[in-house]
Amino acid sequence: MKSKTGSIVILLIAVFLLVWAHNPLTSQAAAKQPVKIGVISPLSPPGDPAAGQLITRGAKFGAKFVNEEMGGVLGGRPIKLVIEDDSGTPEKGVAAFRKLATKDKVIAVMGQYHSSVCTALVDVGAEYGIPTFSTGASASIITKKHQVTTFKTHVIDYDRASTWTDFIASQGWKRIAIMAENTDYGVGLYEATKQIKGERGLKDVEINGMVFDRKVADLTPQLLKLKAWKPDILLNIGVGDPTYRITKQAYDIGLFPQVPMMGAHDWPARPEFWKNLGKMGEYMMFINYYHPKMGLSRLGEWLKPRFEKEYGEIPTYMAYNGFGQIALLAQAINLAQSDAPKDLTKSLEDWVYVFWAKGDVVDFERSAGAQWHNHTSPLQIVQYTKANQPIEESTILWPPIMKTGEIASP
Amino acid sequence: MVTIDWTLLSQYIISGVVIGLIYSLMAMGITFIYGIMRIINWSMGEFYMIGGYLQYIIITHFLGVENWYLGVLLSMVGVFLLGMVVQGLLIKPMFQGSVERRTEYATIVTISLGVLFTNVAVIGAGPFIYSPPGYYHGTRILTLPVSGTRFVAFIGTIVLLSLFYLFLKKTWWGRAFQGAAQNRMGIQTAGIDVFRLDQIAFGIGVALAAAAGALLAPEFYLHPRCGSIATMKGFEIIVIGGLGSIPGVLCAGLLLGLIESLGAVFLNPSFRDVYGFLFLLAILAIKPTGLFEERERVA
Amino acid sequence: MKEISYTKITGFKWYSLSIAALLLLVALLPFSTGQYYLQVFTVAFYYVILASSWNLLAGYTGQFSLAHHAFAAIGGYTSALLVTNFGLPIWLGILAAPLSSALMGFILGMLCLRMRAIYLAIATWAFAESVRITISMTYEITRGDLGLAVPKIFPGIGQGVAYYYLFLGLAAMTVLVIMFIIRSRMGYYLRAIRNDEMVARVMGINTTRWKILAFMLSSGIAGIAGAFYGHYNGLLTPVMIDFNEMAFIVIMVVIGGIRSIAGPVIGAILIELLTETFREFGEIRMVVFALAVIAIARLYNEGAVGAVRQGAQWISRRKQAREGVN
Repeated sequence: MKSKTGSIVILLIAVFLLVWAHNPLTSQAAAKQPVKIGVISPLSPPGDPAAGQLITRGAKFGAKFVNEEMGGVLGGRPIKLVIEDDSGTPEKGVAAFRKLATKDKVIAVMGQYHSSVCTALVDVGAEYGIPTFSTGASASIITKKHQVTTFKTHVIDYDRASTWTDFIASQGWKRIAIMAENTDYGVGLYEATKQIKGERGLKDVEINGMVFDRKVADLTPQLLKLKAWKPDILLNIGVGDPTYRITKQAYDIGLFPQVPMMGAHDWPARPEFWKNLGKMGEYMMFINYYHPKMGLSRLGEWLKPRFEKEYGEIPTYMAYNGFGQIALLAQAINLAQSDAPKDLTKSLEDWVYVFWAKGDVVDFERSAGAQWHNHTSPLQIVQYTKANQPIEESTILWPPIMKTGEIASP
Repeated sequence: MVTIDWTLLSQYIISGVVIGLIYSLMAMGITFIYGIMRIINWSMGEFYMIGGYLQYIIITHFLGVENWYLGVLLSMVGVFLLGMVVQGLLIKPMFQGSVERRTEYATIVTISLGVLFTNVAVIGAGPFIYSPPGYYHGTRILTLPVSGTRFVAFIGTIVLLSLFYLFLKKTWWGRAFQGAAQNRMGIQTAGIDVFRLDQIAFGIGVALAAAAGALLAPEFYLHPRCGSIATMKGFEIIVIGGLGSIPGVLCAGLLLGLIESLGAVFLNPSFRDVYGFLFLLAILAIKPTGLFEERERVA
Repeated sequence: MKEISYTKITGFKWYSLSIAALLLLVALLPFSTGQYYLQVFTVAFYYVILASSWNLLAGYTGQFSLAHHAFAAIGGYTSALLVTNFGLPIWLGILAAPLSSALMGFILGMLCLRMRAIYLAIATWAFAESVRITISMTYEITRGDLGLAVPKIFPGIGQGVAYYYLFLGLAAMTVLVIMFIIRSRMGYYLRAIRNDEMVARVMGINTTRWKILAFMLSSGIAGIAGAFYGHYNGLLTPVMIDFNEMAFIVIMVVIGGIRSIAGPVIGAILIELLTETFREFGEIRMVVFALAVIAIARLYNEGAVGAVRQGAQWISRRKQAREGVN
């Protein structure tokens, strides 16, 4: 009996010894060692893996650009991406960040897409003093925390909500129905819309919102209730498969397109949209960040043909943003002349950077509120007018200065 | 709530009944397998998912949407065969004496099987959501406008459940299954190969889940974890209805749909999936063996 | 007989020596490894607590609960909400955690344990799912999927060593408590119930009472673990109640060896280490674990502990055989 237990103990010892041996005590010469950048993105459900994949594809091209066109950073050291999956869940994101910070010793972390994950990660980033970039997460709280290490090149909720509230007011719509998922993104946008309605003094506009759980398959009851309320517009605030289910189930019960629907981000710009919805996606409106009519910087021009050649589709905003952030980080590392996260944070604040859109210059300033360390791209509201329409041919409805056509309805 | 919107109420009730009945298909599979083998198959949701993916592959690559019903049948056959293999490799040995503690063994093995299938699907299907095109044009059931797919799934469920009922009552095999459910020993002495029966029962059970998956694929979209809600409903239905009871499944399915709808209309629609569980708890407190008790033979 | 007493003496020496070596290794690990592995081990110890307490329930008592992860989450949220909303000190929150999870365990146990064992698995499964949806939807209180920020026990970074020893101590205590229970009268009753409830009842054991007690106890332990985990991780989300978590616990216990004290310990540490080490393999890890569990359950029911045990027996048999030849 004792000797058997003893052998179990031996097994445990072996496990511990393995870990002991695994510990890299010997540090190699730092000269040509790669500079590591962490990428934490949703690459599996329940996250929105399609978005995570676009970001990581862009980021990989970013590393390629830095290593091949810029000749690396800090006099010839290559950039190496360490990619981690957060599954769209804060806990996994935090675990991944800790691993990147303590095991891989990354200089910066980017690739964040889900607001809930990003909100948690910026605090961890501040703990470790590692610059943390939101690539596609938009909740105001992310930058509102005013962490020195938080950076963002993406829109904030407030801008998004004010864009559609102004648009809705210009259309004379009075009854706004909202389907919002129960995340920072969904609930945040819902709250922001109510807040802006108050700020704009739109007293006769009513808002009726439903918050739903992302995993629930059947949203018909919520949609039926909203339909009975007779709204003028339905705002679809979700990430990943719920957005499709809302659209489809609203179509099924005769809510959409009779009542116009607007998506809160550019998910309909992905090729997946038409594949999953087909004719049901016709007349969809959505908030878009980059319309091909807007033009690209030389960085963006570098990416476009290569991306198209590799994946057979033009890069979307998320891919550009993932790519642009890596290129931006490389510029900042060179200006910092150091591979320490602390120096990188300082150079990110001190200088301005070339980005991927035409005439776009990024300057991270310590501005008030959610504009802290934030660089926002201009927003548009676009609409598809017929099934299987490519994004280039969609109509820009808003802002008036970019407008290319009138709103279409069945 | 002061006023009741009668249209809305009727719509909720109809949509609850439709969904409840479709989920009964899952429950029927679970309860059938339990009835014969006295085990719970925890990987039911994964067979649902596999059925959905099979359907997608079959109708988008081979048969075309117009032949969706053939697709449903083929996915059922595919999953039936898969179920036979799984049963032969993993479940059968537990009746041949090499396994102690059967319930524990079956639970562990089927849970792991679920983990296995889900992760293989994540690797295989990649990050994208798939959806076969809808089966039928939108229509309406009384006051409720529904998608063609949901309508078809509703009708399909009724057809499948009726066929299943006829199979059990009228065919030789069906009667053999009923015999096995009542008395395993007895049927063995009557010269029937119980192991063979088990294998087929398991195949039929998972094929029912696959049918639900294939029918609902265009409705709820396909991803590696798409079976989890259906499984939850399936389990709730069998606890409410009573394990092993076939009329229990039908009544409990309809009841569950109704309870959820009423909860959604009078309380908060976002909590719909919790009401079913609360109802389940109430049933457990009042009548621990479910509404339709199936008398169990000890040993 | 002589041989046996002989091996017993050498075995004892060997045993105490290796125990001492292991304790030393475990105690000194923080001085040899970086923050990263300290975190991995901290989480592994958390799983040791969950796996061991689930083993007490499922392995020794035969109650196959599938809500163990939910009880951990209930404990975690109880403590976190008390501390953040009512300004309670952290230790008081942690004290409240096992009370609330044991209470929930009691209610659920009262409802399910009177029935056939199979209902327990299903009802607990549905219970866990409902807890997940409820936490997810009451986001005004729990912040739902947004994640609840929880104050940490040791604030700031570089506290890996402190957390390592804290969780090591907790895990060791849990294992000792469970060992004590198994060897006590209660453990005897529980095993009697598992082997044959009818017979146990005939023997005059109040089976329902002992079953509910075991259920409450193991839920309470899970609640403590969850509370400490929340205050360690600084973040709680309903993902904690994803069925995958439960499957993970089952995998750990089965691979380690169900119905043994050391099994869940080895299983939890091994699986957590492998999961972290092979991160880049993504889902393939889970496929391999699932296959391993199926193979163990199908071919060989005793897991790693059983394998080692048999290996040791084989070696000592060979030794004896050789000595016999000599």
